[in-house]
This record gives sequence, structure tokens and C-alpha cells, in this order.
Amino acid sequence: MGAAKRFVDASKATYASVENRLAGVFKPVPPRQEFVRGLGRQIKIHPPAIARRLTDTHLILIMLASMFSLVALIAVGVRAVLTFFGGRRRTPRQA
Amino acid sequence: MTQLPEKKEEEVLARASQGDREAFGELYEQYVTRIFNYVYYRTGNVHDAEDLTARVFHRALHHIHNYTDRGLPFSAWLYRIAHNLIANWHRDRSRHQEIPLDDASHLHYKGEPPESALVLTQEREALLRLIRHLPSERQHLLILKFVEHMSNAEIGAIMGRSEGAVKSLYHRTLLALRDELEGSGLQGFE
Repeated sequence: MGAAKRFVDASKATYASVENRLAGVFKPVPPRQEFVRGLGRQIKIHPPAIARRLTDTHLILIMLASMFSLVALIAVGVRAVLTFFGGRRRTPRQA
Repeated sequence: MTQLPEKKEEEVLARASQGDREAFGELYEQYVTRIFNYVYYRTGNVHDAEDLTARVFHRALHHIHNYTDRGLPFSAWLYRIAHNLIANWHRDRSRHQEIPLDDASHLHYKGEPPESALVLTQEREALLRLIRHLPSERQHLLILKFVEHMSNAEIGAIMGRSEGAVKSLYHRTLLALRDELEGSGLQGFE
């Protein structure tokens, strides 16, 4: 009986020791308030809601601007390719 | 943040699942600190904890309309999302992240002399390293018990286990940790 009690007491002491260590390690860590507030704002204004706020006019303007940028980019690319591989044109003075 | 009464939470949850963002915002405010703590102790640094916490809530918002009440607390669903994202995070990383000193130093040991605070911080980091090598459900159990101070019954409700199973898992975890501590030669710092 005494041996069993000693064994139980030893087990309890072991558990208590490990538990004390764990209690020293795990402490609640408050997240930064800026993070909580910023994420809260994102959560309450979800991207689809933002997308829905775009009116048709805005959407058309964005699409036109995108197309214009794309055309400009292609033109610059073509010009660069012609400059490098298209040979040099004679200027009027050389002719 | 005070805990929402169960009835009130059900009502808020019902509104949130119908697309009410204000209701989801209430749930967010209720659980953000708990999820952050869970992710923080699973990843070991504030930066990734913030990133993953944000992803948890964005994913929850995206899927809230699919949420079905299976008798488990809502937090169980959030923890499940967090668990999956953390598993992906660990998989994407070739090396395990450690707690940088600047992250850990603000947490504890205020009022200690600098030398002993440094020793305590190093010991704390060493113990956290050991803990992070435990299976994820054991880490989850320890975080709920020591950070959230939940009872075995509450932990069981979140982990989908019986109270007895949680108690048994807890004791096995303590024994495993005791063996690891003895093997590592870490000194006590309680």
C-alpha cells in the first residue's frame, strides 16, 4: 500500500514539474492592435464587396486603360525588335 | 473580449452564414486572439502568425455559407482551418522556424535581471522547440490547456474527442515531454 502511494505521489510530482514548466512557457500573446484592426476592416469589407462597388463606368475606364497600355507595350516591343534586327535605314544624306 | 453566450453565438453564426459581414465581424473579434495564439505557438514567430491568422479568417469568410452545425463549437471549425493552413505552411518550409529572440523577449520575465532573463528566454525557446516536435494534436492540446486554460471537456469538444480521451492524451504528452526534457538536460525554470 505504501509503495503504491509513493509511486502515485512520485507520478504526481513528475506531472506537476512538467506542468509548471509548461505554464512558464505558454502565456497568452496578445496580437498587435494594428493587425487586429486592419484585418477586421478587411474582413468587414471583403474584396468581392469592393469589386461590386466599382461602377460600370469605372470598369470600362479600367479596361480601356489596360488595352491602351497593352497596345503601347506591344508597339515598343515591335519597335525594339525592328531596331535590333530590321537593319539600318539609309538617311537622306547617305543616299 | 468576453465570451458570447451560446444562444447569442448561434444567432450571430446564422446571420454570418447568410452573408452578414457585421455578424462575421463579431465572430472575428471573438476568436482572433485565440486563433492568433494557436498559430503563434505552432509557427514560432509573430510575422507568420499574423499572416496565417489573416488567411484563417479570409478562408472562414469565404466558406462560412457552407458551415454546418455538427454540435461542435464554432471555434473547432476555425481551429481546423488553422490546423490545415499550418500543415501546408510546415510543408512549404524546408527548415523549421525558431522563435527569434526579438519576438520572444517581449513576452515574459519582466523585472528579471538581464542575464537571468536571457537564460530563461533560452530555456523557454529550447522547451518550445521540443514541444514543436510533438504531433500536432498534442501541441493543440497543450495550447488549449495552458494558453486558453480550457478544461478537458472543453478541449474534447473542440478536438472531437471524449473527456477521457483528452485526459489520457494529456498524460501521455506529459510523459513524453518529461522523457524529452530528461534527455535534453534542460534545467527547471518554473
